[in-house]
Amino acid sequence: MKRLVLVAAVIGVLLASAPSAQSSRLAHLGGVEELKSWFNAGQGHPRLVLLLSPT
Amino acid sequence: MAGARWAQRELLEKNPKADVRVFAIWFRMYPGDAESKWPGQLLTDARVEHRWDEPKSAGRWFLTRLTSLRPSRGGDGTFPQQADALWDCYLMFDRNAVWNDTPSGILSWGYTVMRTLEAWGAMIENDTRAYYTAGGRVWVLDLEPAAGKKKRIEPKR
Repeated sequence: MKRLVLVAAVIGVLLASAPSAQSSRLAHLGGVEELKSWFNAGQGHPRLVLLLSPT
Repeated sequence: MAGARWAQRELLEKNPKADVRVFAIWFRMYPGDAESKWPGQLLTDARVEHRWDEPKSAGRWFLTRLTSLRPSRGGDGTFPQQADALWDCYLMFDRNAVWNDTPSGILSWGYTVMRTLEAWGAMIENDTRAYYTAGGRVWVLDLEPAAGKKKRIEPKR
């Protein structure tokens, strides 16, 4: 029983400390230079830039 | 968020083969905004790349250079907000656009995304062609893959 409680506690700690799946998918922009690089790498395709806030 | 939802449902899902690339840049504008509130479930199309821009570098950059974006044939091209960054906006570029000092080939931009891009998107005919009106003429935006293509934009006949 003690082992089960210990395992549950460890899992709980791991889940609490892990970053959410959502936030881990959102990379940070490396400044306007990254946008410029993406833009120029996409030549040959129409490109749409969206400037958005999350709420 | 309404703009992101609209882009996913009306622009991307309804035009799954449209050869468009999307870069969605998210940043704080309202007091409650935070990276943790990013609605990752709204804009999930594989053609979209997302970034969080904490210093609002992209929005600030575009806000100070709005008058140098040429040519702009559609959209409302106005940003009535008194803000420190261009936001809730879209900027649509032709497939030949190149960014040197500033990006060339802008087709249209507008605020808000929902209001102005919806108007633009309503003119998408299918996966390969879209139409928009500017300067008293109807223009064709070619959304087909670029291989072997020469003409990019041509007046509609």
